[in-house]
Amino acid sequence: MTFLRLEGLSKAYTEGGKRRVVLNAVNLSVERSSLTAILGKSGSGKTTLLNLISGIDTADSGQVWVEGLELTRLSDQERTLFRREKIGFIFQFFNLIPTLTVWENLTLPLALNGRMNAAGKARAEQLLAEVGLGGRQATYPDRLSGGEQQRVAIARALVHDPLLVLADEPTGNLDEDSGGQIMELLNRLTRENGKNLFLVTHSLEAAAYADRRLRMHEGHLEEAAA
Amino acid sequence: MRPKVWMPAGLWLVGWRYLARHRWQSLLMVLGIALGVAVMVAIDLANASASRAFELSTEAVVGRATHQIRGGPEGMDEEIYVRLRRAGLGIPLAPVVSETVFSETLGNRPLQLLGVDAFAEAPFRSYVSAGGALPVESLSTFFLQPRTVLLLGETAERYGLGVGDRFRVEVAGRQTEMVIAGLLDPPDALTRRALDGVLLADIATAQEVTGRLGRLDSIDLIVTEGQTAVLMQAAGMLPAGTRLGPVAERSQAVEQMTAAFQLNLSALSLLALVVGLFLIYNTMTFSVVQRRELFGTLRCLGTTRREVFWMVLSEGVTVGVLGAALGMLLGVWMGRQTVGMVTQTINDLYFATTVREVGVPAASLVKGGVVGVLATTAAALLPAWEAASVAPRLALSRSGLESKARRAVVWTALAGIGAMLLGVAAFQLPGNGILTGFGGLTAVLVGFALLAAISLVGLMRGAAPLLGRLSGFLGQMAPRNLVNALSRTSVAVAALMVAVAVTIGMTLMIDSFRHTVQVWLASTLMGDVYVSVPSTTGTTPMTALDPQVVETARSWPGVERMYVTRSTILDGEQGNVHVSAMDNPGIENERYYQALFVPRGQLWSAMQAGSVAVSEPLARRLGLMEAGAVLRLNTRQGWAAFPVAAVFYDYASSEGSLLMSRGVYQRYWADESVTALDLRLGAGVEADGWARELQSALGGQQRLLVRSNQTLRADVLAVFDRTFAITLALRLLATVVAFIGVLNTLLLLQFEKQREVGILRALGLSGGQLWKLVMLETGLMGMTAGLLAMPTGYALALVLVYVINQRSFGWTLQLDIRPEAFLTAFGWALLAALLAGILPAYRLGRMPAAEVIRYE
Repeated sequence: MTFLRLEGLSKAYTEGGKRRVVLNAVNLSVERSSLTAILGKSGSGKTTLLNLISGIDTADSGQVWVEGLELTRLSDQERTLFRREKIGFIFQFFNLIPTLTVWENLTLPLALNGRMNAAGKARAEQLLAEVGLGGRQATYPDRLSGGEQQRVAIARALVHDPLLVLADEPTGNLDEDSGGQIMELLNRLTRENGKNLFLVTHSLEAAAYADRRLRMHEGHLEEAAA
Repeated sequence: MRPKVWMPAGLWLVGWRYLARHRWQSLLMVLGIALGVAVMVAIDLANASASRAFELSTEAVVGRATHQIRGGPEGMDEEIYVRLRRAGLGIPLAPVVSETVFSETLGNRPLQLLGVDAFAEAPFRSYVSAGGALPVESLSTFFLQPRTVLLLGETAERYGLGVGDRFRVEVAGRQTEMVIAGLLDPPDALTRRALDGVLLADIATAQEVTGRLGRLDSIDLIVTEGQTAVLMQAAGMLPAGTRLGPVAERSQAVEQMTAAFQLNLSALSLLALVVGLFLIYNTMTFSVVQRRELFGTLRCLGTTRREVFWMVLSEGVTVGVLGAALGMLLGVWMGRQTVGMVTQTINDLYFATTVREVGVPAASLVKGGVVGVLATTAAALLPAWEAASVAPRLALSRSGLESKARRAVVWTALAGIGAMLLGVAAFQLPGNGILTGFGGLTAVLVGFALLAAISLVGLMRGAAPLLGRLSGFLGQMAPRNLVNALSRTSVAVAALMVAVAVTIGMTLMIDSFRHTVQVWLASTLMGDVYVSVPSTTGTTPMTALDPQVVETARSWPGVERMYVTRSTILDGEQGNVHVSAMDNPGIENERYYQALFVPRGQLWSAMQAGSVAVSEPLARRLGLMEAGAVLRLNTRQGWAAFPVAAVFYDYASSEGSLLMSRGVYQRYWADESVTALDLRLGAGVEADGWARELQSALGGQQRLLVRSNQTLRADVLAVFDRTFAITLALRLLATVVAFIGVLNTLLLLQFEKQREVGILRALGLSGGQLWKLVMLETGLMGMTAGLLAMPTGYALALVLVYVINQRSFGWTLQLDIRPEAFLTAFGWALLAALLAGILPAYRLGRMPAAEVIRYE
């Protein structure tokens, strides 16, 4: 069953007076409960694609459909609220809020969604235990290693039970061992929780976890070899 | 999919933690607002206290009276009261004699001697009729024994006095002994405060000690709304020269008198808050810039623009609430220190208040608190909007923001010029309003502040090559750093510039004022020695001299000529008018005239024929600046018109005064009294020694001020300096807030530059070089602020001298420009900036390079 559909999605930027096409009429259909990896060189448009799927950015033309909802027709406010409820984000640089503790960072999506209830808290505790940071609730991010920060970010991306998890180079800022552990964790948790994961990476090791691999090349998406 | 709450608790936590983590900048923001609010509260408290003191003084005297009949300079015959009583008007009437007196025993402050008829008092002043509180023997002493007074129990206790004690009172320069017949104990606190400065006497006693036997100052009436006919009947029975009017009329006139003074003080008190707002705006903008990545993340996580906006705004509100709360406490303390200064100025310039303590009006606190919070919120609006506009992307760079700021430089400058033009246009608005004057002044100031960015860019471009030659790469780096962080450095420069410019503007205005007063004194005070009775206020003495004193002085060896003056307050058609009736025919040469409506050399003869000369403030206030203007005064022969023959410059009071020939005055008011002597001595007589001799010779008759020309000038200038003491204090406080602003900016810049400095340190930048870099940057900021403050300060001085002063007080001042004012202010700007650099330089110097580079 199709969960995500992109139709003729295009996006261009103007740089130094010149127009640079990043996405050129991209079409894509993604099945439910799958892990999709987008590979590509730096600057190939991977992150732009992620931004369009999440509604962070708007396309010049084309449509983005998520679970039958046309995202490209929504207002900025509607897209924000969609993102808040339906999407979990994992960034390359972790992006934990430095002034909040691990627990407060983790539960931030629950607070934003007004779901800071007993069930929400129990899920947060469970996820924290699953990422191996059960006793670190009161710790601030600057006391954690890069790998630990990314684990908190993974838990944060899942805590509010989103429809789709978007991960932008989640291992890009980690050493090989930590990167491997993070991908293991991400793979296990998203599958166990029946989530859709959309992974942007230039690491073939990370992409190996995906059910489907695509390559971004000159503004087009192509199926990549396993 | 609608957000359920305006801001989720988690976001509030993000904002709150940010403030808590950045203790220094939060503390400095709170302190900046606290000082701004404190100054505002303090001045408002002082103003309100002074007004309340006046109200209470008035209430103590007028009680529940609704109307008053007042006489001319000599009061009125008590027969008028008898006639009104006999007429059976059916309304309560009470005669009053009142006089401001002094008593060394009671702290040598102004006291109100209130002479009343106890039998007529019951409806008017409850504390008199509440005689039930007094023992019978006290009442009988009060009624039967001459020269007895009733005093507030607390006042008596404070000075160790009790019933039956005798104490000396100075009335019109003459000492007299009074006996305490009883102690008043009113039930409510307000009346107790009002009575603190009152000596209550039987009317006969008051008449005797003031030398006004058979005369009354006023007759109080209580008239209800439906008794207009009675009022008309009473008015019809009054002789010419007396006036029946509502009580409120008089207190309103006094309120109007001090309104401009209090408004100016209030406007000045806002200065520290305005400078504090720059501080808030700058710090909040900084915090937003620093957290762009955080906002980007929050937006990615689904935080709406509105939520980010509220989050940042709530930080501003938190700072505002904390600052306002602290400011209110500080303001009460500062207010207690300030109230004395304000009351002193009002005593010096307007009237004597006899009330000491009036408490803390809650309205002043609330006003200060609300304005503080609202102003802080307003200052945080733009940064909050900026934060909300952060796109939910992480790639937006700081350099992007700075290039945006640099692109905005020209537009900001153009907006600045627009604001200035708007300010100038406001001055041209008809009506000459004080508020439009201040509005224009603010627009001009904001206009110059908006030029801070372009000035900084221009000066830094010019300074870079020169500094590069002098200080090598650090010299090139420092100006570049300031331009690269323009969005924040320009606001800090603007804040410091505003404070310094106000210092220059105020200094130039006060210097010009002082210079003008000195020139005016030199032209006005032509006598060698002046004699008068010590006055309760610093303005023209109005207490009559003993006729014996006048004769003794006239015949004293060494006197070549003597002129006499009678100063009093007359009832004019447009309110009370201060009048000086004099016999000096040389008056035309002893004043500077703004307008002379009679041929030169004929002013005195015109005055002898009934014309008057009015001072500039009076002419402006009553619209008498044109030829053919006429002033109507209530004389003993009824209302009479006095043509205005001249308008003279005068700086003695903002209400203004009128000069009249003594002959004309005596003709219309039949008053022989003299209040001041102007003695011209023969050649070779040393004035100071001569004045001392005369003082000791006359001292036995009446306590007098016998002052040489030089001493009198010095005394006037002392009052002048005392009047501006509070202005100087407010100016200093605004500079302190600006200093806090610069310090905060530098601390924030330092926080931002940690990584850059860490790399420089790792590359071999020595501790000394780091200090040099920071000091160069702060010095350049101070220099830019100081340079821009010069034209701004000059423009402010022009507005203060030619617009604000003239509209507020009616004075034309001569602008006196001294380079010291500019140089001193520039020095202050530089010093403040350099001092503010010490802490950031110290903190950066102590930071280990490795940790700084690692810092994420």
